[in-house]
Amino acid sequence: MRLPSSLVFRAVCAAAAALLFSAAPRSAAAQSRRDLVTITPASRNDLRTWDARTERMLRDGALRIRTRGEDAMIRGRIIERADQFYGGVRVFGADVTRQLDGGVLLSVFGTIYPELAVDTAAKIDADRARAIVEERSGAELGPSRQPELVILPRDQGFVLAWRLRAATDSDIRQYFVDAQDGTIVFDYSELKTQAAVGRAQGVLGDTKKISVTKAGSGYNAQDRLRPPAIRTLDMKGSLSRTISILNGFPVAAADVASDDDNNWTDGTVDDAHVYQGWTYDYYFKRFNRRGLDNRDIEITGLANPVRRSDLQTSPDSVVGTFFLNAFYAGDGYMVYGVGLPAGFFTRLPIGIQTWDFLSGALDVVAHELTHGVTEFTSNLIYLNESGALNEAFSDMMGTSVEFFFQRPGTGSMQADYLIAEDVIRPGGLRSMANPTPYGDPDHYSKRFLGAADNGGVHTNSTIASHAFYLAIEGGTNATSGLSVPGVGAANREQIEKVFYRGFTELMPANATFAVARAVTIQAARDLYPSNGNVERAVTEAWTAVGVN
Amino acid sequence: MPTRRALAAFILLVAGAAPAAAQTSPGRLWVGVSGGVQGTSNGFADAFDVTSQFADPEPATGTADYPVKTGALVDGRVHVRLWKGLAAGVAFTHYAHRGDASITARVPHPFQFTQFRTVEGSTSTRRGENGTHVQVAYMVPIGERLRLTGFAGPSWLSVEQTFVTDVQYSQTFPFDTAAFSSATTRRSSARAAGFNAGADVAWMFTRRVGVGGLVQYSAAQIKEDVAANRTITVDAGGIQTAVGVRLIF
Repeated sequence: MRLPSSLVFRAVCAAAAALLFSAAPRSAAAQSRRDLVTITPASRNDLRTWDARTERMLRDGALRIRTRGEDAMIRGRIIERADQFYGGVRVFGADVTRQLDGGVLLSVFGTIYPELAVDTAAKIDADRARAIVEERSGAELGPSRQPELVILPRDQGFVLAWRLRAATDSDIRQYFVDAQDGTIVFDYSELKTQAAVGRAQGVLGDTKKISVTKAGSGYNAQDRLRPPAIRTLDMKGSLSRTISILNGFPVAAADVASDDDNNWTDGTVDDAHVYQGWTYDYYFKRFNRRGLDNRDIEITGLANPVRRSDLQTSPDSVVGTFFLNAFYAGDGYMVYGVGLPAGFFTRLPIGIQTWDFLSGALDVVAHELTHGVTEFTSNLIYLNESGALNEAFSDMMGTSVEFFFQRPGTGSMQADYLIAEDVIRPGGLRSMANPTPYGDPDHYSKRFLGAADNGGVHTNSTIASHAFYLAIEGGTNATSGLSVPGVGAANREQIEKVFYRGFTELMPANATFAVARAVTIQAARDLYPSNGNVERAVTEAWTAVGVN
Repeated sequence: MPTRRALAAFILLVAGAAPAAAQTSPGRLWVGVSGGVQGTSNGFADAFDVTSQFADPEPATGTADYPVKTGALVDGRVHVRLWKGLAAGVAFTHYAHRGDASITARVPHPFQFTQFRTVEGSTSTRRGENGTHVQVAYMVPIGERLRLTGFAGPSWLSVEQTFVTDVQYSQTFPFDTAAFSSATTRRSSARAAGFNAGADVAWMFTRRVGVGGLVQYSAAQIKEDVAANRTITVDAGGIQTAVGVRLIF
């Protein structure tokens, strides 16, 4: 968003993330048993030791390669996954991942049981195990559902067991049948039974579905239906608690927004949670992208970071950051400002405007999440032209998400080329179609050259976002007078894909507008080699806004 | 084949008990045992609520089209002659048909209102009908061996039917489609009064034994309990055609 810089919070949250990530191995260690060895080499010597040891286990058959394939992220790297075996029987849950480069081991992680001793001769055969599971579950198992003989690590020792999954109309469970005496020694549900869908009222009074988690007798704003964890925290107006979380203190269960009857009525929480999900959906459906980092990093939104009623007692910096702003705080964390109480307004170049809760605008939420995408891809430096491109890309994708989910139009909750128009009324914050009335440039020759706003990262963003608009809709640039054909609204997907590819795959971190022009033209050639209209629209759009 | 042989042997046995060339007697007791088919077009559709996954606030609904087609029929009947050609009696019929019900469910999208997905599938269903037909009959002899009998009267038909009560479906992110997994079914039976009418033609080999064919139409409307607080009215009966043994005592 427009007002204060979020650089401070990015740094703060990077530290927060480091703490969160370091907490995970600690909790895993707490569940380990005496004979379980966790492989996490801390030094080159450790790595060499484990290299030799895992090679020996592979030769002996104590480890068997399960999958071996080329690293999808780094060319030339090989990723191996190997399961531990004992007496020809797989040890359930014991495996090792190895990363190799030219045959040289770069990393190895895993959990194995070196001191394993168990009789691997089963007294119960597979058919009997199937019958036992059918009797227990009430399910009739098809012929393809064959039990697997495994060694199951238990707190008391190791059990030779038949592992078999059974589905009923209410559950999917893994069963482990003791291969010696036929008792079911362990079973667990593989069904995500906690997911729930509720009804939510948005900031603008609209009703939408919300994907949440049933927890006890209530519900909380944790999305279990999408691949990443998406959660929304209700900071209940506590700025200090908000700052604590942004500084890396653990999120408590009480921080997560909740509702008693799954009929959600806090619009700012509801819209933040729903729109974060929709933005994830857009990136997945349009670009086959899995979230911010393309690896389904957790997404966390913070709503109600302050109380509107505290406006007049809050310092300007807080007003600028937590009232009149929304920002991406790094590592999947977003904060949505609360806007202004009734009777308060701002005066921008287009006139007097009221501010509603910022999460109430789909393009605002998508804009902030796109900063996350940028962080994990081009990582455009948030300064001068690269910073303006960073902002522009967020506006482009924010608007694209609007067009993906909303009908085109000029009314509330309709798709258009205004930014934040649903919550900053009337008119929104910026216009990609006609930037000038907002005091923003529509042409490179009019770019802001001062030091404010990190070198005009917001104001100059409209040079690029206006080019995006022209490439889709066509039209004439008011400054240059040059006309652009555009691919037409029906083909907007083409331009969205071109800019997405250019900005996330080809763009360097310190790109200029000229580099942005070059990478998007290259992306058009890459994606639509036989459709010259796309490349022409992109090229002429950049030319029209004075970027050559 | 063994059944046919046994039937032929039975006919010969009974035929042997009476003079072969004797004229047919009106007798006192008319008995018929037949096998055949019931032709019907009583297929019907039913609508039901589907249990939404994730407790979705938007309801899921389903419909099932049930085939009720021609199926095997067994008929047995006894008439007692009261006066001249007039008789009264009772007939029993059993009809069964097995077929796949076509199921279509409309299930909500977990992220968006009014974006339903269609799920289609089928499940095996069984229909069984038992009829008890009280009849007033009138027999007209045509020549020495042929007898034509007309009959009509009230019927009590009971229907046992498999009903689909719910649909299980699978769906995964991004939930643009959903796939049919299975259907929950329940068997329900009920009975109601109707009527029957028809005719029987018999060719008597001997005074007591012959073969015959019958055509009977019976019908009733039956209210079935499909689920708690939900009933559906189905048509039962149809045109029943059967051939078999005719005995006169």
